[in-house]
Amino acid sequence: MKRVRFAAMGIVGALLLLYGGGSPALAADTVHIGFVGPLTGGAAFLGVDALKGVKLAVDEINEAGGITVGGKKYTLSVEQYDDEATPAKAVAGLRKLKDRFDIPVVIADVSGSSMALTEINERLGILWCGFARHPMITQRGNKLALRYEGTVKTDTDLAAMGAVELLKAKTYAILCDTGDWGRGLQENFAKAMEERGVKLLGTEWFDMRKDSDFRVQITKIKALNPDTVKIVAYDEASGQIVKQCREMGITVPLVMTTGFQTRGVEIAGAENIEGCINIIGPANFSPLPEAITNYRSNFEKKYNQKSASYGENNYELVYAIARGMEKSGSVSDAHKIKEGMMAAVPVEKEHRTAWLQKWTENGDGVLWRDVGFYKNGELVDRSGNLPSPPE
Amino acid sequence: MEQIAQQLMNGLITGSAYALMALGLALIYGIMHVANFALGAIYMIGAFLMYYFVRWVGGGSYLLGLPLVMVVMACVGALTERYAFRLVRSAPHATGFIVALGLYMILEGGSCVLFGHDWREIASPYNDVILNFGPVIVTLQRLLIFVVCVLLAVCVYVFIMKTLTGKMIRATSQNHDAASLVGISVSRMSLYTFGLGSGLAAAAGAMIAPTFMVGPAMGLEPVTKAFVVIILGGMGSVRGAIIGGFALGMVESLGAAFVTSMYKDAFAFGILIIVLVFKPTGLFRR
Repeated sequence: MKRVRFAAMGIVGALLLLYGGGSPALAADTVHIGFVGPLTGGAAFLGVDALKGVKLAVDEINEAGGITVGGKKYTLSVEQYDDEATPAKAVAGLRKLKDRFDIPVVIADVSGSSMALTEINERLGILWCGFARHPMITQRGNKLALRYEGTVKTDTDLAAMGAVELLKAKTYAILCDTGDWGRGLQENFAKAMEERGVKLLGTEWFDMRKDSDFRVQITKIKALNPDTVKIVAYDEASGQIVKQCREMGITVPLVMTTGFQTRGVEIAGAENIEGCINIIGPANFSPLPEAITNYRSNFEKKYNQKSASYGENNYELVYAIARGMEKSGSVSDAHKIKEGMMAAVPVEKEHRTAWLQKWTENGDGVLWRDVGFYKNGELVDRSGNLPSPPE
Repeated sequence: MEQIAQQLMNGLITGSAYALMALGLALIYGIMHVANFALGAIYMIGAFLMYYFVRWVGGGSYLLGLPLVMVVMACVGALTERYAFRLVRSAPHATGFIVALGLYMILEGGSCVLFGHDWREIASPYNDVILNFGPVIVTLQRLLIFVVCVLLAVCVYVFIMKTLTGKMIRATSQNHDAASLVGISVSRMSLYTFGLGSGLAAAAGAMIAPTFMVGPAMGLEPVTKAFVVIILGGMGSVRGAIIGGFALGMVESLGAAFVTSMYKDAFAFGILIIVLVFKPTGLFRR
């Protein structure tokens, strides 16, 4: 009995030290930035890479002496919460981060979670930032939302233009993830294609967080015989879907999304994506901008693995947050930080890994984007050349 | 007509994976009356073992890796029985389920730390061989899933029904005390059953993984579906697990194909509810 009591006291003491000792919220010279994203579960590949990009930027800024706001030096600290890409957990996480660390800014990149977070962030006085694409995040009048990307509408308009001009499609089908990002993309793409007079033959759904076999849906789409198929999924899932499409006898060129990145290309294989179209961004430029080359090299040195694109976006975002705080003169007022960030972009060239040019009135990012197609495994512009940085 | 044939093939292969997983779960439930949720983690680790085996030895040796993976994971399963489930054998059923759930989380979390979060591909040579049976297209890998599943199911059925050890396992699952009285070691039978069930789950993981990818989160969905199968087929029924697995695979595929793919999982749970309304003990009573 005595042993059990001592063991219990020891556990309680350890917990107090771990969670109660020297509460970071009391430190006067640390600014806490929240990160809410999937660090475990089916979408962890996105969240983990995104978080690493945030941490890389935070470490760089701190090593360079931190930020100076109102004449005072601050270091940045990332406070993370694993929401497993679940909106309910994301909301619980945000509240915990606010209670424990009094965060003025949260970075969240998954559309479903961000939709939930932006229902409460204004009340909590937290600025939401991230590359979540669902249009509704910024269209509900939220005054504390800055999207570090365009909405899906930018991509779907370009993709529809590509499907018509490059693929000459008269009919199409959609194979789409059931999450908020997927549905947003599907709606907007269908609208953009309808405006261009292209007929939708059918839409099939899957849950890329759980499903691994898409053959049932692919079989249905094959029977419709469309001129092209729009695949709406993240990286690895997209790659597998492309492979399974080719295996099941769908040979038409496909319309991919920005979710389809380096890893997806590796999985699908260059021969299976020849002629397929996708959206071009700065990561496709030739030569690659120095900021992106340096980011990838530093990422590999720090984490001993290759980076994906999710962290690249968040890396620049952290610099935008830092510069925004310096410009606004505040590390705690979310509204002032937002104003500061809007005035601070574009960030300095050596940290420009996403190429955000500015924000619109309602907080949507304006970035350089165009449509291109795959040639020998590389994404080329409409004329078939490797895209180069604009003047 | 072409689409129907293809969808039937899709359902058959999906069902064979469910059947294999459910067989493992049914065997363990029969002995311990515990729904061993940790089999989802065993399935996942089996897939990872196969990934590393193929990486080290080469894709050509893929099939050689299967018995190795099964043996290793059978040992792991036996260890879980000895050091986790045996300790709560006399406790209420809920305790066993909680232990299983906890074990699943520990194994999944540990896999994230050990293997990382990235999804990986198993380079099985059979994945690139595409076979055409009239209008039906299937890769050799997927055909192998079906063949291996049927073979393993037959072997397990014969083992359980025809061998002395199998009869001892059945006796133990019917009544632990009576089995002890006739000299059967309940602990040993439990150990064998956990080992066998875990080996089957690992085989399912190792066979399925090349058709998609390997990652720490891959075990949750199959074990959830396996639960549905064993409830559908009758808790602890070997025959029920096999037939239930194939039935579920067919219902899901055909439902998604000819009704809607948006609520594919609803067909699985819908058929479960319908069966339980008319036959609460499942299709095949133990």
